[in-house]
Amino acid sequence: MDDSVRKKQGTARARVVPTRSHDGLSSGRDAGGGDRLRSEQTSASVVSLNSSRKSRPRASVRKDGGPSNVEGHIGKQLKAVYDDVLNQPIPDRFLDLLTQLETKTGSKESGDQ
Amino acid sequence: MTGNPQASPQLKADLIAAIPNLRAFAVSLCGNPDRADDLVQETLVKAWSNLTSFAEGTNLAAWLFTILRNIYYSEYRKRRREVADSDGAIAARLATAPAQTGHMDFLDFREALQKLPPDQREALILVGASGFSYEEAAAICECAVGTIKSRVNRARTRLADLLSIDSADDFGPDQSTRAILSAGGRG
Repeated sequence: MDDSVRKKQGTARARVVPTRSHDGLSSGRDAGGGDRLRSEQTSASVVSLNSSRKSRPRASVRKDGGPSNVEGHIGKQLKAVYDDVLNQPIPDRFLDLLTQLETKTGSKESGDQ
Repeated sequence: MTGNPQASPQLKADLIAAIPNLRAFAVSLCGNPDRADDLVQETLVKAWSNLTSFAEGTNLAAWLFTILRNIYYSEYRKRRREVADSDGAIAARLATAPAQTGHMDFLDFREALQKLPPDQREALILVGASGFSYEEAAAICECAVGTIKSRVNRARTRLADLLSIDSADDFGPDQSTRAILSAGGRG
């Protein structure tokens, strides 16, 4: 039961674990499913980019038969590496930086670039 | 004058929201967490001073990614020249993987990722991890959609070679992969 849920989320998110070979990445034959996947993927990326999503770390190995191809394995590892950083809290240095930039802009209305 | 209107609170919030993605992209791209955060910092500074050129309501993430990769590539070119001059000291530093053990397959994959040509690496990351469409990735990389597709495919093929993935059953780095990876390291 958990697997099917996860599978769904995986698809709705930005192509987390390509479990099919026609995920739009592998060949030109994404005419049918490709559009659907793409639009889902686009909205998923918008969500993820705008809400600093806090997704759970993905299970390391899928038990539901798993990706049956090389792309699947590579995609999975790539996502694992990527999400490892994605899920880290934002370091203070960046928040401080933005505050600093904001202050500077405010006080230096006619300052130089 | 700065030509820099106050960023709206919304825009600032959006910038902040994009930071995790920028960091993940930067680390995957350059392979070095410290340098990645420097890249993100430069990106934010540059984005801030160019806010006027960003049309609010368009794809902020794509815009930021474009800035980041441009900074990366200009440094990349600079560093390549430096590396030639400095006995590979920088190269050695860049090649240093995070030291944690216990994530062996992570590390091996990261190493392999860093062995890809940068243009293939970024295409694969943008499409396969950042969640951009081929069209968005093409816009970010300022190239044709078909170019992105072929870069992604070549990246996959090369990674499969490096990781010795031949089939679903032959997954995971093994002794020979490690040997190849370390033999391929800069010497």
